[in-house]
Amino acid sequence: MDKIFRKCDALIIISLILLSMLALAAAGKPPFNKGGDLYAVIYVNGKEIEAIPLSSAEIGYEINTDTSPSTVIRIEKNCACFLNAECRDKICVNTGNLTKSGDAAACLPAGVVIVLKSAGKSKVDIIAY
Amino acid sequence: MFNNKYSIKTAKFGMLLALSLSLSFLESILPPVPFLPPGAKLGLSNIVTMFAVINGGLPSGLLIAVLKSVFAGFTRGFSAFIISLCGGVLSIFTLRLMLFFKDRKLFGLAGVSVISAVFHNIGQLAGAFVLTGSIYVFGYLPSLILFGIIAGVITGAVLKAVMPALEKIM
Repeated sequence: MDKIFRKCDALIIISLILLSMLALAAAGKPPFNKGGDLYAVIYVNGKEIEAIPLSSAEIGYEINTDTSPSTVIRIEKNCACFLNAECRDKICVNTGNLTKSGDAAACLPAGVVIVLKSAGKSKVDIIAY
Repeated sequence: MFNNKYSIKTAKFGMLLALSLSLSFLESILPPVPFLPPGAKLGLSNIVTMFAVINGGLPSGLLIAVLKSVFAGFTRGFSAFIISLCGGVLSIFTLRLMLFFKDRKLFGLAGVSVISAVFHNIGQLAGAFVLTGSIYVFGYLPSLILFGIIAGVITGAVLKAVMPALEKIM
Protein backbone atom coordinates (compact mmCIF):
# COMPACT_ATOMS: atom_id res chain seq x y z
CA MET A 1 0.00 0.00 0.00
CA ASP A 2 1.23 3.50 -0.82
CA LYS A 3 2.09 5.50 2.26
CA ILE A 4 1.58 9.27 2.30
CA PHE A 5 4.55 10.00 4.58
CA ARG A 6 7.91 8.33 4.92
CA LYS A 7 11.03 9.48 6.74
CA CYS A 8 12.62 11.23 3.75
CA ASP A 9 9.42 13.21 3.19
CA ALA A 10 9.67 14.89 6.58
CA LEU A 11 13.36 15.59 5.99
CA ILE A 12 12.83 17.20 2.59
CA ILE A 13 9.75 19.17 3.67
CA ILE A 14 11.48 20.58 6.77
CA SER A 15 14.62 21.53 4.82
CA LEU A 16 12.52 23.20 2.10
CA ILE A 17 10.60 25.19 4.73
CA LEU A 18 13.85 26.28 6.41
CA LEU A 19 15.48 27.24 3.09
CA SER A 20 12.57 29.35 1.90
CA MET A 21 12.13 31.00 5.31
CA LEU A 22 15.82 31.86 5.25
CA ALA A 23 15.50 33.31 1.75
CA LEU A 24 12.47 35.36 2.78
CA ALA A 25 14.25 36.64 5.89
CA ALA A 26 17.41 37.53 3.95
CA ALA A 27 15.52 39.51 1.32
CA GLY A 28 15.51 43.22 2.02
CA LYS A 29 18.50 42.99 4.39
CA PRO A 30 22.20 43.64 3.75
CA PRO A 31 24.01 42.70 1.56
CA PHE A 32 20.91 42.57 -0.65
CA ASN A 33 19.76 45.93 0.63
CA LYS A 34 22.54 48.50 0.40
CA GLY A 35 20.49 51.19 2.07
CA GLY A 36 20.05 54.63 0.60
CA ASP A 37 17.34 55.76 -1.77
CA LEU A 38 14.92 53.30 -3.30
CA TYR A 39 14.53 53.21 -7.06
CA ALA A 40 11.64 51.66 -8.92
CA VAL A 41 13.26 50.04 -11.94
CA ILE A 42 10.84 49.20 -14.72
CA TYR A 43 11.72 46.51 -17.26
CA VAL A 44 9.82 45.82 -20.46
CA ASN A 45 10.71 42.52 -22.11
CA GLY A 46 13.98 42.35 -20.19
CA LYS A 47 15.12 45.86 -21.10
CA GLU A 48 15.33 48.50 -18.41
CA ILE A 49 13.26 51.43 -19.57
CA GLU A 50 13.21 53.59 -16.45
CA ALA A 51 14.76 53.88 -12.98
CA ILE A 52 12.66 56.23 -10.91
CA PRO A 53 13.86 57.38 -7.48
CA LEU A 54 10.86 57.00 -5.20
CA SER A 55 11.92 60.10 -3.27
CA SER A 56 11.23 62.14 -6.41
CA ALA A 57 7.54 61.24 -6.18
CA GLU A 58 6.45 63.89 -3.69
CA ILE A 59 2.99 63.47 -5.08
CA GLY A 60 2.10 60.01 -6.32
CA TYR A 61 1.61 59.61 -10.07
CA GLU A 62 0.87 56.96 -12.65
CA ILE A 63 2.76 55.64 -15.63
CA ASN A 64 1.10 53.90 -18.56
CA THR A 65 3.18 51.34 -20.40
CA ASP A 66 2.33 51.13 -24.09
CA THR A 67 2.65 47.37 -24.02
CA SER A 68 0.03 44.89 -25.13
CA PRO A 69 -1.82 44.40 -22.81
CA SER A 70 -1.14 47.81 -21.30
CA THR A 71 -0.41 48.28 -17.61
CA VAL A 72 -0.70 51.20 -15.22
CA ILE A 73 2.10 51.63 -12.69
CA ARG A 74 1.67 53.81 -9.63
CA ILE A 75 4.72 55.49 -8.13
CA GLU A 76 4.51 56.92 -4.63
CA LYS A 77 6.96 58.31 -2.12
CA ASN A 78 7.42 55.01 -0.30
CA CYS A 79 6.15 52.40 -2.67
CA ALA A 80 5.38 51.35 -6.22
CA CYS A 81 2.75 48.98 -7.56
CA PHE A 82 0.76 47.85 -10.56
CA LEU A 83 -2.49 49.78 -10.38
CA ASN A 84 -4.10 47.98 -13.28
CA ALA A 85 -3.36 45.70 -16.21
CA GLU A 86 -5.49 44.89 -19.22
CA CYS A 87 -5.09 41.17 -18.69
CA ARG A 88 -7.36 38.60 -17.09
CA ASP A 89 -5.53 37.16 -14.11
CA LYS A 90 -4.30 40.48 -12.53
CA ILE A 91 -1.54 38.66 -10.64
CA CYS A 92 0.69 41.75 -10.85
CA VAL A 93 -2.04 43.94 -9.33
CA ASN A 94 -2.70 41.41 -6.57
CA THR A 95 1.01 41.41 -5.68
CA GLY A 96 0.25 44.74 -4.02
CA ASN A 97 2.67 47.43 -2.91
CA LEU A 98 6.41 47.02 -3.32
CA THR A 99 7.99 48.71 -0.33
CA LYS A 100 11.51 47.37 0.24
CA SER A 101 14.60 46.69 -1.79
CA GLY A 102 14.32 43.47 -3.77
CA ASP A 103 10.52 43.51 -3.94
CA ALA A 104 9.32 42.76 -7.44
CA ALA A 105 6.07 42.45 -9.33
CA ALA A 106 5.62 41.13 -12.84
CA CYS A 107 2.91 41.29 -15.47
CA LEU A 108 3.76 38.32 -17.68
CA PRO A 109 1.38 38.88 -20.61
CA ALA A 110 2.78 42.40 -21.00
CA GLY A 111 6.36 41.45 -20.11
CA VAL A 112 6.56 44.30 -17.60
CA VAL A 113 8.53 43.86 -14.36
CA ILE A 114 8.96 46.41 -11.56
CA VAL A 115 11.83 45.87 -9.14
CA LEU A 116 12.71 48.05 -6.18
CA LYS A 117 16.44 48.55 -5.85
CA SER A 118 18.43 50.44 -3.29
CA ALA A 119 20.98 52.85 -4.61
CA GLY A 120 23.54 52.25 -1.87
CA LYS A 121 25.88 55.00 -0.71
CA SER A 122 27.40 55.82 -4.08
CA LYS A 123 23.99 56.45 -5.72
CA VAL A 124 25.80 56.33 -9.04
CA ASP A 125 25.92 52.71 -10.08
CA ILE A 126 22.20 52.29 -10.47
CA ILE A 127 22.03 55.18 -12.88
CA ALA A 128 25.20 54.21 -14.68
CA TYR A 129 24.33 50.67 -15.84
CA MET B 1 -8.58 -1.33 -38.87
CA PHE B 2 -10.42 -1.00 -35.63
CA ASN B 3 -8.15 -1.83 -32.75
CA ASN B 4 -10.11 -2.33 -29.57
CA LYS B 5 -7.16 -2.18 -27.18
CA TYR B 6 -5.99 1.19 -28.49
CA SER B 7 -9.50 2.61 -28.65
CA ILE B 8 -10.01 1.85 -24.98
CA LYS B 9 -6.63 3.33 -24.12
CA THR B 10 -7.42 6.50 -26.09
CA ALA B 11 -10.84 6.83 -24.46
CA LYS B 12 -9.38 6.45 -20.97
CA PHE B 13 -6.67 8.97 -21.74
CA GLY B 14 -9.33 11.39 -22.97
CA MET B 15 -11.21 10.97 -19.71
CA LEU B 16 -8.08 11.73 -17.68
CA LEU B 17 -7.37 14.82 -19.79
CA ALA B 18 -10.96 16.02 -19.38
CA LEU B 19 -10.70 15.48 -15.63
CA SER B 20 -7.48 17.48 -15.35
CA LEU B 21 -8.84 20.31 -17.53
CA SER B 22 -12.02 20.58 -15.49
CA LEU B 23 -10.05 20.60 -12.24
CA SER B 24 -7.83 23.43 -13.45
CA PHE B 25 -10.89 25.33 -14.70
CA LEU B 26 -12.54 24.84 -11.29
CA GLU B 27 -9.44 26.25 -9.63
CA SER B 28 -9.27 29.25 -11.91
CA ILE B 29 -12.76 30.43 -10.91
CA LEU B 30 -11.96 30.33 -7.19
CA PRO B 31 -11.46 33.89 -5.86
CA PRO B 32 -7.91 34.86 -4.77
CA VAL B 33 -7.36 34.11 -1.09
CA PRO B 34 -5.77 36.85 1.06
CA PHE B 35 -2.35 36.09 2.65
CA LEU B 36 -1.53 33.60 -0.09
CA PRO B 37 1.03 34.50 -2.75
CA PRO B 38 -0.83 36.05 -5.72
CA GLY B 39 -1.52 33.54 -8.46
CA ALA B 40 -0.82 30.57 -6.18
CA LYS B 41 -3.06 27.61 -6.87
CA LEU B 42 -3.52 24.23 -5.24
CA GLY B 43 -2.73 22.40 -8.46
CA LEU B 44 -5.60 19.95 -8.13
CA SER B 45 -5.15 18.85 -11.73
CA ASN B 46 -1.75 17.50 -10.71
CA ILE B 47 -3.62 14.71 -8.94
CA VAL B 48 -4.62 13.53 -12.39
CA THR B 49 -1.17 13.95 -13.94
CA MET B 50 0.35 12.03 -11.01
CA PHE B 51 -2.13 9.25 -11.55
CA ALA B 52 -1.38 9.27 -15.29
CA VAL B 53 2.36 8.95 -14.71
CA ILE B 54 1.92 6.22 -12.08
CA ASN B 55 -0.38 4.17 -14.31
CA GLY B 56 0.57 5.11 -17.86
CA GLY B 57 4.22 6.10 -17.47
CA LEU B 58 6.15 9.11 -18.71
CA PRO B 59 4.49 9.41 -22.18
CA SER B 60 0.92 9.72 -20.81
CA GLY B 61 2.01 12.28 -18.24
CA LEU B 62 3.92 14.37 -20.77
CA LEU B 63 1.02 14.24 -23.23
CA ILE B 64 -1.42 15.45 -20.56
CA ALA B 65 0.97 18.25 -19.55
CA VAL B 66 1.43 19.43 -23.15
CA LEU B 67 -2.27 19.24 -24.03
CA LYS B 68 -3.13 21.05 -20.78
CA SER B 69 -0.81 23.91 -21.67
CA VAL B 70 -2.28 24.11 -25.18
CA PHE B 71 -5.68 24.46 -23.52
CA ALA B 72 -4.28 27.13 -21.19
CA GLY B 73 -2.92 28.89 -24.27
CA PHE B 74 -6.35 28.94 -25.94
CA THR B 75 -8.16 30.19 -22.85
CA ARG B 76 -5.58 32.44 -21.19
CA GLY B 77 -3.15 33.49 -23.89
CA PHE B 78 0.39 32.87 -25.04
CA SER B 79 2.17 33.62 -21.76
CA ALA B 80 -0.07 31.14 -19.93
CA PHE B 81 0.85 28.53 -22.56
CA ILE B 82 4.61 29.02 -22.09
CA ILE B 83 4.40 29.02 -18.29
CA SER B 84 2.10 26.03 -18.14
CA LEU B 85 4.30 24.11 -20.60
CA CYS B 86 7.57 24.79 -18.74
CA GLY B 87 6.05 23.98 -15.34
CA GLY B 88 4.15 20.94 -16.55
CA VAL B 89 6.96 19.26 -18.48
CA LEU B 90 9.59 19.84 -15.75
CA SER B 91 7.25 18.54 -13.05
CA ILE B 92 6.41 15.39 -15.04
CA PHE B 93 10.10 14.50 -15.38
CA THR B 94 10.63 15.21 -11.67
CA LEU B 95 7.58 13.12 -10.86
CA ARG B 96 8.93 10.15 -12.81
CA LEU B 97 12.26 10.42 -10.97
CA MET B 98 10.50 10.67 -7.60
CA LEU B 99 8.35 7.61 -8.37
CA PHE B 100 11.61 5.71 -8.83
CA PHE B 101 12.52 6.64 -5.23
CA LYS B 102 9.00 5.97 -3.99
CA ASP B 103 9.14 2.42 -5.39
CA ARG B 104 12.29 1.95 -3.31
CA LYS B 105 10.30 3.09 -0.25
CA LEU B 106 12.37 6.25 0.24
CA PHE B 107 9.51 8.71 -0.25
CA GLY B 108 5.77 8.58 0.32
CA LEU B 109 3.14 10.20 -1.89
CA ALA B 110 3.45 13.50 0.00
CA GLY B 111 7.18 13.79 -0.77
CA VAL B 112 6.64 12.86 -4.42
CA SER B 113 3.88 15.43 -4.73
CA VAL B 114 5.75 18.20 -2.86
CA ILE B 115 8.97 17.84 -4.88
CA SER B 116 7.10 17.79 -8.16
CA ALA B 117 5.09 20.84 -7.03
CA VAL B 118 8.33 22.70 -6.24
CA PHE B 119 9.78 21.83 -9.65
CA HIS B 120 6.50 22.82 -11.25
CA ASN B 121 7.05 26.27 -9.68
CA ILE B 122 10.68 26.39 -10.80
CA GLY B 123 9.62 25.49 -14.35
CA GLN B 124 6.90 28.15 -14.32
CA LEU B 125 9.33 30.81 -13.10
CA ALA B 126 11.84 29.71 -15.76
CA GLY B 127 9.05 30.27 -18.29
CA ALA B 128 8.34 33.67 -16.73
CA PHE B 129 12.07 34.44 -16.96
CA VAL B 130 12.01 33.63 -20.68
CA LEU B 131 8.96 35.87 -21.17
CA THR B 132 10.16 38.85 -19.16
CA GLY B 133 13.93 38.47 -19.42
CA SER B 134 14.09 39.49 -15.78
CA ILE B 135 15.88 37.26 -13.26
CA TYR B 136 13.88 38.95 -10.50
CA VAL B 137 10.90 36.68 -11.13
CA PHE B 138 12.81 34.03 -9.14
CA GLY B 139 12.48 36.24 -6.05
CA TYR B 140 8.98 34.86 -5.96
CA LEU B 141 10.24 31.30 -5.44
CA PRO B 142 10.50 31.14 -1.61
CA SER B 143 6.88 32.09 -1.01
CA LEU B 144 5.77 29.79 -3.82
CA ILE B 145 7.73 26.91 -2.28
CA LEU B 146 6.13 27.47 1.14
CA PHE B 147 2.69 27.36 -0.43
CA GLY B 148 3.73 24.49 -2.73
CA ILE B 149 4.56 22.34 0.31
CA ILE B 150 1.01 22.72 1.65
CA ALA B 151 -0.49 22.19 -1.79
CA GLY B 152 1.76 19.18 -2.41
CA VAL B 153 0.79 17.45 0.83
CA ILE B 154 -2.90 18.06 0.08
CA THR B 155 -2.72 16.74 -3.49
CA GLY B 156 -0.67 13.73 -2.33
CA ALA B 157 -3.27 12.89 0.31
CA VAL B 158 -6.16 13.36 -2.12
CA LEU B 159 -4.42 11.12 -4.65
CA LYS B 160 -4.10 8.37 -2.06
CA ALA B 161 -7.79 8.75 -1.23
CA VAL B 162 -9.06 8.65 -4.83
CA MET B 163 -6.51 6.15 -6.17
CA PRO B 164 -8.67 3.03 -5.53
CA ALA B 165 -11.66 4.61 -7.29
CA LEU B 166 -9.57 5.78 -10.26
CA GLU B 167 -7.91 2.38 -10.60
CA LYS B 168 -11.31 0.70 -10.73
CA ILE B 169 -12.31 2.83 -13.75
CA MET B 170 -8.98 2.84 -15.58
